[in-house]
Amino acid sequence: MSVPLVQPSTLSGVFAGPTPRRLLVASPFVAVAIVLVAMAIFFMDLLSAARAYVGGESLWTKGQKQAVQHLERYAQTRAEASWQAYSQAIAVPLGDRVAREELEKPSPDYELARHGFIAGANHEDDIDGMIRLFRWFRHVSFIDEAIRTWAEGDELIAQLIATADELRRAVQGGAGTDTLAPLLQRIEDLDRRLAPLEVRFSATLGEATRKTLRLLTLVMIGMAVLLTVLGALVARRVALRGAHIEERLRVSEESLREANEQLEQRVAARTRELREANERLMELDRLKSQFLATMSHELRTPLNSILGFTSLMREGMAGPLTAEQQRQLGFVHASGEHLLALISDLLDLSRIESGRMDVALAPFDFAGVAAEVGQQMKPLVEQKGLKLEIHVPHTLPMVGDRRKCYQVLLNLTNNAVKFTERGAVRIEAAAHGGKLAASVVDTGIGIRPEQLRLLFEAFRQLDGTPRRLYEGTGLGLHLSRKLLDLMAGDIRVESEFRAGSRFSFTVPLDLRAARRAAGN
Amino acid sequence: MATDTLVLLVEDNAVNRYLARFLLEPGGFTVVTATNGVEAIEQARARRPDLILMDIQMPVMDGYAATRALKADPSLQSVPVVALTAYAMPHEREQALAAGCAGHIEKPIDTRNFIAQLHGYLGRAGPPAR
Repeated sequence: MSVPLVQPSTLSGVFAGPTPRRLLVASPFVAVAIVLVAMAIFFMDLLSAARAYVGGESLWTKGQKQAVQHLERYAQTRAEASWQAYSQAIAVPLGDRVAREELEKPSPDYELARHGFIAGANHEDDIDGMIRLFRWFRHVSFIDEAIRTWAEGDELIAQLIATADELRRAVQGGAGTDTLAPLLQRIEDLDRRLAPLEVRFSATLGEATRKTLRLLTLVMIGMAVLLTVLGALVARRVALRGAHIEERLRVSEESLREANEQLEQRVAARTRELREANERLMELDRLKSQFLATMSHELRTPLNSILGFTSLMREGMAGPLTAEQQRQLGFVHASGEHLLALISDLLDLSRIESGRMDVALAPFDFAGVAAEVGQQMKPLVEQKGLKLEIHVPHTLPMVGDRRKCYQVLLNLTNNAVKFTERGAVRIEAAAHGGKLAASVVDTGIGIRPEQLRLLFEAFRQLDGTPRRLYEGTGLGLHLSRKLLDLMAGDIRVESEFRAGSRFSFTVPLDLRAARRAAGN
Repeated sequence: MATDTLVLLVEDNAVNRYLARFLLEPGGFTVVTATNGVEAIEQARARRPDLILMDIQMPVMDGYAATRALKADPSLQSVPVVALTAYAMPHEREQALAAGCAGHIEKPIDTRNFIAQLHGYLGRAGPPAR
């Protein structure tokens, strides 16, 4: 016996899962990956902007140095070209200054700041990153310090420009070297003071870049660790769930197996009990049959003597008898015969009840059966001064059990003769509708209507007391009905009290064919 | 001569033995008796009867076994054995014939036909003259 434990869909449902569940499991990974990519892009942007500032600073410094050189040459040569070159060079730091001052405002004009950065000779593609870095991180210490350094530089550039303007006026005014020398000296001082600022600006930004890179590295490592842990957690959870399901599966398999075993044991035990009970019953049945056979034999042995000696004596073989002795011996003999019939009937009934009564299926002539019954009854009929009439066709061929038909007809005729004191007993038989319809009619004492229904019962008990309808009926009618049942026949009785009775029975003319028809 | 006919009556019940003897001797038979199968075989070998009347249910050795033993003896197998059956069970008659009996007589014995039945088994047309 086997029962499927878990539907296959249950397993696939847990492991493969419907789509929403899979997304749920994957979502932390997707989120971390998105954050990772976003952060990478963001930090790259920042680093790129920092690089642009460092580049911008070198251009700024270059512009400032060139401006100072052109100023010095202008002071010596007083050539207009040198002044023009100075103006061009100083435009770079000035542009950057415009951008810085605009971005420091609470709501800056980004277009103005952009123009400032372009004037500062920065590459156009870098400018957006530079603006973002400035706006978002200007309060962060490194950027703040860089911007302050830048503002300090711009302050010095403003002084440089003011000094340059003084120098130009002096040159245009035709001043001598004496007048120009202190101005040049001031310019040199400013240049000297700018150099460390420029270094500090670059160094600060460089430090910021390195710190950012370190931070980025740390974040990347953290993310990697997070992903690993997350993956491990998910894997563990899946494994745990799998193990849990396997455990549940194992437990249910186990319990089913135990239930099966218990069931099998119970079935085996019940089968054994039934077999033992059956064996006991068969043994009891065998003992009953054995008992009946033995009892029958034991009862017949003394009957053999009783009937044997009474017949010898009645025939006068043991000497002459008086009329009264003859009469009394007749009673003894009749009682013995009755007892013998009872024993035979009892044995037959026992065979029928235990299903061991076979029914012959052979051809015979019922006319012969009726004649034989007539012959058998002849002595008693003559003794009682009755008439026995046999109204049966010349031949009445049948297929069935001749002996049982004889038994039934003899029993009915015997009863009729027994209970009829004057008149006649008539045996009638004819084939009718595939059946033998036979009757035994008498002019005897008849049967009370209320007793008719009890007629075919064996020693029927009524009102708790054993009660026999008539002396001598015994088991005969009950046995007749049972024999007819075996032969697919039936029996019924019509009777008028004190006027006579008619016992009728039917049997299929061809019992073999009737059985075949019933079987189909 | 009627008295030349020797019958071995095998019957364990004394009254039934007496009854059978009472019927047989006036019928012109000489009767020897045995009360079980073993005695029956001894008597048959000693007396060489013309007919054996064999009861079936007996102590020590039953009628079936005794009949089989008699039929196995070449010097006795031609002696007809007639079973006396109480007809308790339908298979008794078949078993008796299977054991080697020539036929059976149902008990209680029909006293009027008994002698005629025996002559039938002896192959004679009618009862011997008295």
